[in-house]
Amino acid sequence: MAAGATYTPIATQTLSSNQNTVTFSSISGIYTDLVLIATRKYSNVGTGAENTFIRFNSDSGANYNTTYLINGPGAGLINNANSLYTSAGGNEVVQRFSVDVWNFMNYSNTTTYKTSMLRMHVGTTNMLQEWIGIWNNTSAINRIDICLLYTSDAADE
Amino acid sequence: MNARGDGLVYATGNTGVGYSRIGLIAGGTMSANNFVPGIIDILDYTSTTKNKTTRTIAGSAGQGTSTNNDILFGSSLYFPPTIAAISTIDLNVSGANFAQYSSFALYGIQG
Repeated sequence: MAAGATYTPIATQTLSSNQNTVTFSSISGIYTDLVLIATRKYSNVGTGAENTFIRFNSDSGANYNTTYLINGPGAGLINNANSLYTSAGGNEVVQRFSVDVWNFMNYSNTTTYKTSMLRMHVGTTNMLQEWIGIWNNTSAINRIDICLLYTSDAADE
Repeated sequence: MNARGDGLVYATGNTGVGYSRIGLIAGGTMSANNFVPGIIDILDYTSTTKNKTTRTIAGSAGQGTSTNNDILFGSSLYFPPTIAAISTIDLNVSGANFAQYSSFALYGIQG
């Protein structure tokens, strides 16, 4: 889909090697919403899917709620986690990546908790997912960390 | 279609009504600072030959109970007697008011 003049490019990252965390920092507050489009996969092919986590402003407190829907009736919720849970990335075939669109709504206001949505598809497993996240914090978002596994939080997996 | 955090999934619909039902919003049991994200796509809105269709994806991730954790997929069809381009959009919540700090942004896509 052509983005047109509505979208303003802010930053892009393409990993040159396997990496645990991707960070967007010093995010300006001048925009209305943020949209993050990604294609990603787990580096260990064939070892099983891994959840992906998001933190805002480096907040590792138990301040995140998630609702998710995976392939129809597989709905669930995760409250009071120390990061947003998002989908597992693809891991089956080396060159096949997931297709993700993240929306971060009204991210720079300082009066409401921050909401986000992820729509994600992994073609190799016919996996279609929808994730809703709330960060229970009224601060403006100026940093987004996307992490496959927080090494100090292995129990979350 | 609405999927709830306790695993329940159900679908409903309305026909021939005077509005397009586009989704759900946070209710009184949500915390005061907790709002619902949603995206509504209004397709080919300037067409004067086609009825108008919308697609909604929305959800909530509230605290404590599964009834505050929903994901909604919705669509609607607007079919007036005389087809016209959409120039006005009214958003209305049934039986209440939008709460303070609710926010809305309308974007146009050029392609």
